[in-house]
This record gives sequence, structure tokens and C-alpha cells, in this order.
Amino acid sequence: MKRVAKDRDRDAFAELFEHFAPLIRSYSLARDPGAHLVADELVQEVLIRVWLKAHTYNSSKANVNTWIFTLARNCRIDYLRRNGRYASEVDADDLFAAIEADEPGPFETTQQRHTADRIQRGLDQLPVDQSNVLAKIYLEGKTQQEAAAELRIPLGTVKSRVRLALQKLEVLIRGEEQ
Amino acid sequence: MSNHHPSADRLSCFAAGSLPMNQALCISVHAEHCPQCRRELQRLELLGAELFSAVAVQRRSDNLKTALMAKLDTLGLEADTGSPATEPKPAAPANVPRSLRKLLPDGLQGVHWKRLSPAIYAAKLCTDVNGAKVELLKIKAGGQVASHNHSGEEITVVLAGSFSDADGVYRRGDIIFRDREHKHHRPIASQDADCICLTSVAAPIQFTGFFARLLNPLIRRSHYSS
Repeated sequence: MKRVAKDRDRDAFAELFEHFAPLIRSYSLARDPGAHLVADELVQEVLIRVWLKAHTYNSSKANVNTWIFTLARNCRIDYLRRNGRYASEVDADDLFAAIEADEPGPFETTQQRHTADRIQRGLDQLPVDQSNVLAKIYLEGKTQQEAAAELRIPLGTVKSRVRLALQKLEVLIRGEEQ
Repeated sequence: MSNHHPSADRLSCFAAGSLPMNQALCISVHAEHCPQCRRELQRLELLGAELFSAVAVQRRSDNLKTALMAKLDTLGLEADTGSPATEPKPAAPANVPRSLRKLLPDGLQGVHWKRLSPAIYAAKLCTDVNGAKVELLKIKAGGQVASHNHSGEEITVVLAGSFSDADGVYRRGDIIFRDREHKHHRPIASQDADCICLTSVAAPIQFTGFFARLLNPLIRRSHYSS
């Protein structure tokens, strides 16, 4: 990633492509199965952003996975907005700007790495009904109502499964009071 | 710091990018005021990244790679000339959360308020494709919103001033969710200043019978006017 940012190293960029293009494509196909053109478009758009914005990437703030996930998420939101799913003038980048503005200290950076490791291990052990709900929401981009309808479970069950999963993965700092 | 937060499952939908825009706007404005929710959201993005990296992939041809690598030449130039430091930044209107700046280019001072009652003014910002209406609402200092029930979910984020209802006092950055279960919601702005809120109201239930359809224009009027 550094080589892309500093030296505009094409070989390094090609490596990023090798790793992330299939992930981005699958991420897009998770929402729109069969829409290969849309998926290729998203791959291009995200990786072009990576190329153009590489110098703004800050490794103490987020690992490369997270950075590229947020780019893919934002590109997908903007794509859906352009195509009429969201009627608004607001760009995805505007929505998430406040979260990105925080400068983490060294402690947060280390903590973040631990959290990522723990989540990774925890995901394997999550009950299927919980990981299914997470996949609907994160990968397929479904609203909670849509997830409930597709899984044929009440909306309240979707919410409680998400919360249980977050508790198991220890994602929440404050615990769950609601 | 805010004492009223979105639930964890709603935050996770926001981090996942799957929340309807009207709700996402409200969460985003709250997060800008709430360091605690920002930290939670960063962790929820980590979760997203782990799910994203674990997604099953299938190999495909390399045409796309060739095309993209060729495209870099034309882009390289833009990247070099357009460094973020030199981009002209539009003068940020004071008091306007980032996610609302495009909708409020002239800041809160430049809002064209529509008078709904002596104490209440509203300004429409946008309507989501799901029919949810996003509005700014101004309650004059000491003013009271008429008692109302909620047909769909109403989300309120305080942008300036404060208001209270039977359940508590809400200040800048606080986010409040109200739905059908909350009866007779009756907010009052504090005496010392006008209260400005961002509100998002889910589409009212549509009557679909032949005669009832004639009623729809009546209930489509602003949620707060009666």
C-alpha cells in the first residue's frame, strides 16, 4: 500500500488488484446476484479511488482491509443513490466523514488490531442464524426489514440476532443497554 | 457528550451502509457530536471489513485488470495535480453538521422556514425514496409542539438549543426515536433559546380503500401542523 501511495508503484497496485478485485466483485454480487457488469464497475471505481486516494490512507487509522471495505461500501451507496434507491443530494463520503476524522493514538491502533483478530476468530464460531443476519446486512446491503422478510423471521428477531452476534464478537464498548 | 444514542443494531446497519438514507443522515449527525458512537462505528467497520475479506470468491478473467491498468495513465495526472491540500474548500457554515452541508449551503441562518404555527417552523430538506421525509424543525423558545402520535417512526436529532418531553431533556447531538408505541409525544423547547432539530418521519400509512384514498391528501400535510 505504501508503495502505491509514495512511488505510484504499478506492480504493488497490481498486487492490490489481485487480492481485492475478487472480494469487491463478490461483495457487489452479494447484493445483486448475476449483475456482473455492475460488479466490474464497482471493482473499477473502488480501485481507481484506491489509486487516487492512496496518499490519504493512514495505516494507524485503519488496516487496508477496513479502508477498502469502507471505500467499497461508499461507492456502492453512491451507485445505488445515482440509480434511484436513495433520493438525496448527500454523498456517502459526507455521511461517514465524521467517523474518519478521528485521529487514533498508538493505544487505539494496537487495540484495533486486537479487535480485528478477535472478530476474525469469533466469526467462525458464530451460530449460523447470527452470521446469516450479519451477511444480509453487511454484504447483501439489506435493511433490517428486508432481512426479516427474506429470512421469514420477525424484525425483532433480526435486531436481537445482530445484538447477540455483536456481544459474542465483543464489538461493543459500552455493552448493550437498549 | 450525548446521553441518547442509537441502538447497537441500528449503528451496525449504518456502518454496513444498509440503513435507509433518511435514518443514515440522522445517525451521521448524531455521530458527529458523539465520540462514543464514533468509536463504536469504527469497530463496526472492522467487523464489516472482516466479513468483506472472508467473502467467497471465484476467479475470473483478467480483462478487467488490463483495462484498469491502462486507465491509470490518464488518472495519474489528475492525482498529481489534485492534491487534497489545494482543493478549494467551500466555506463551512458554522453549526451545520458535515452530512447536511450540501443540503444547507447557506447554513442554519439561510434556511427558508415555513410557519406551521406561532411557535413552530419547518423547512423540508429531502424525501427518501421510501417516502420518509427529512425536515428541519424550529421550535421557538418555550414553544410547544401539539400533542401527536406517530404513524411511522420519527427520528429527531437536536442541532441547536434543547427541548424536553415527558421522558427527558434533549440537548445538542442527542438522538431520539419515537414510534407508534409512544403516545402523546409533546415536546417543549427550553425557555432560553430556539430549538432546531433534524427530523425524519417515515411515510404515513396510506389508506388504500376507494373512499379512504380521498383522505390521503389531508394526512400528507406536515406531520407537525395539526
